[in-house]
Amino acid sequence: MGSLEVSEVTVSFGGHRALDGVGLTAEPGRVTGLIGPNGAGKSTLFDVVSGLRRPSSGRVVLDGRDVTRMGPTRRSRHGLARTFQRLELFGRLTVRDNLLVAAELGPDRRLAGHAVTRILERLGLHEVADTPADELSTGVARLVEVGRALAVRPKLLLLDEPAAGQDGEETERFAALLRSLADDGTAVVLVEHDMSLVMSVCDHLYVLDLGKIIASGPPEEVRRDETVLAAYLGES
Amino acid sequence: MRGTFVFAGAIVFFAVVLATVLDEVDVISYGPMFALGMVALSFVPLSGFAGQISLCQLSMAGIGAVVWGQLAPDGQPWALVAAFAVSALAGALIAVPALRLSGVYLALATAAFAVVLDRWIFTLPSFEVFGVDVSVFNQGSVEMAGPDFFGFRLDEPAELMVFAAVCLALGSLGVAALRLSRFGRRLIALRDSEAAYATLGGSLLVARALVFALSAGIAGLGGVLYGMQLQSVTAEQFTFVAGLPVFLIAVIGGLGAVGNGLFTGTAYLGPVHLLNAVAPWSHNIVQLLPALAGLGFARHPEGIVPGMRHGWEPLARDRAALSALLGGFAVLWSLRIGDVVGNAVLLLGTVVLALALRAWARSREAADVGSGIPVEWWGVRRPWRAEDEEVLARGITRG
Repeated sequence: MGSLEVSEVTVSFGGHRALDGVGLTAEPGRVTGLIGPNGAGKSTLFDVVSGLRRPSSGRVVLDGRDVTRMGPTRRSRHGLARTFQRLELFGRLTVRDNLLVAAELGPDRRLAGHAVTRILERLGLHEVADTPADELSTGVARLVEVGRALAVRPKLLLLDEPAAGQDGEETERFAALLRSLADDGTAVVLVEHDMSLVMSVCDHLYVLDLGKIIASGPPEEVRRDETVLAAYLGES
Repeated sequence: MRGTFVFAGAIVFFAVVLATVLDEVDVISYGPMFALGMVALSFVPLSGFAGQISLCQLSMAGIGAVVWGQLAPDGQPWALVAAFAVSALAGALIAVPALRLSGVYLALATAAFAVVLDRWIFTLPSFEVFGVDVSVFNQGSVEMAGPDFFGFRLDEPAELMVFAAVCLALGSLGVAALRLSRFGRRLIALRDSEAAYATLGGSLLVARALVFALSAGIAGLGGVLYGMQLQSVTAEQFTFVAGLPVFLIAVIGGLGAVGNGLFTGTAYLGPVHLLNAVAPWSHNIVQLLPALAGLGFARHPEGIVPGMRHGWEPLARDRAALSALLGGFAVLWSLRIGDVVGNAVLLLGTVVLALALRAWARSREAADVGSGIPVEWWGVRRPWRAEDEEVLARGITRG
């Protein structure tokens, strides 16, 4: 299990409300999309869910356990992992070592080496396994971040624009990877600007604007929402 | 690690050479370079790997010296462990309030800790805690005995210098091994992204406390070695201000380089004593050397040691040139031991020989690349050499 329940989360920066009473749920085996324009509060919400930022009010519940007051380290031990919009790779370590650090911090550190090999194979990262992360292209680096998150064997995976910098073929492979992760029982929350990817892989969508959820539902339903169409997706 | 083993051997060999060619006064002057090198080495895991900063490493060395001085009047070796442990504990204590600090604020916090130690703790008279007498520097000096290993007492300055060099060599090996270990990877991860490290389940507090403790423990051992060399130490030798030049030179050397220990120790003491001996009129000017070196740091933001290593690699790879260097040095050393030549000739002769052979090795390497034999024929039209693989790798990287 890796269900996420965010309710009435509010975050204020000075007088500005970055998040205003936001609620969201994510279920195991499903890909939940979170879309919205730049500055809508998507990454701030990820920071709140992962424990990097304390909300002014509201609750974050992971697998039925209230984790609102827990730091990121403890939340990770409850099965949460994430990637970052602005890359946060360990640049001086190789790709393999990036994954190894994560696997050794995960629940089964004795099998860390095997887990890393499997992830390298699954994501097609073998060729760059011994390359320092600082030397990777943006698209590959984002894939490494996903691999590193997978190395802690998460039950809930938060992906912040993971397909940015990928070409069409890479995005297609990535979509298949997301589906297979969900099929394995992982709850995936995806923030992404590539609407074709979002529409093809997400089971449920939330639309965030100016810190508030303005629409939610299955992608086809959200796609037809007039407000969303006008404001975020453009003419379809 | 092979290179680090060679480097560790070179440290000990260097100390043995010094022990055989320097008189006792000079051994006392130059000897502490290995001990101070140990203090500088403590910056490598802390600053080079984990990206933390500490301006109180010489204070940690002071704690180690005090522990040894008070617990090992007869040089009991177990007190080395105690000195490491007490210094490490003090280091871990610094890490706790420093958890939320970084950069200049962490530097200020550790500087404040150093000032607390040298203005207050180190100047305390003996006192009692729960019936146990605690002495620091006793408002004076602490006698420092040499270690006694199963009845074999090291108390001559030359013996202590070689012992310090062995410790520095082992410390350098240990730090290099740490870099390749699970904990080493975590420290680098911590430096590169604290947010990612925390969200993967890594504890910032534990990692910081451990690296501060390890680093302080290494510095504490450096303090023990430094004190042994001096035979008697006072609080003035471990002040915040006294530690700044060591930190500055360590930064110039490159905080991430394992060779930084030897570099800092040598650069801190070598030029000062050498210039004072050759040109006594330069006595005050040489005190400016660390600051002047700091001004030149902008050219080498990653430190001098990696550049030096890169510069001398062709000589290390060229077996003929390396053999010639070792042979030439053996001759010069023999002449010095036989009192045929003095230390100046030994030093100058070695430097000139090394520079000449380095130039020769570089030209041979360049000639190989531009010899007209295509690289794909190396090992066919001419024998494959051990260094070819690295030459090819470097060529590919440059390309």
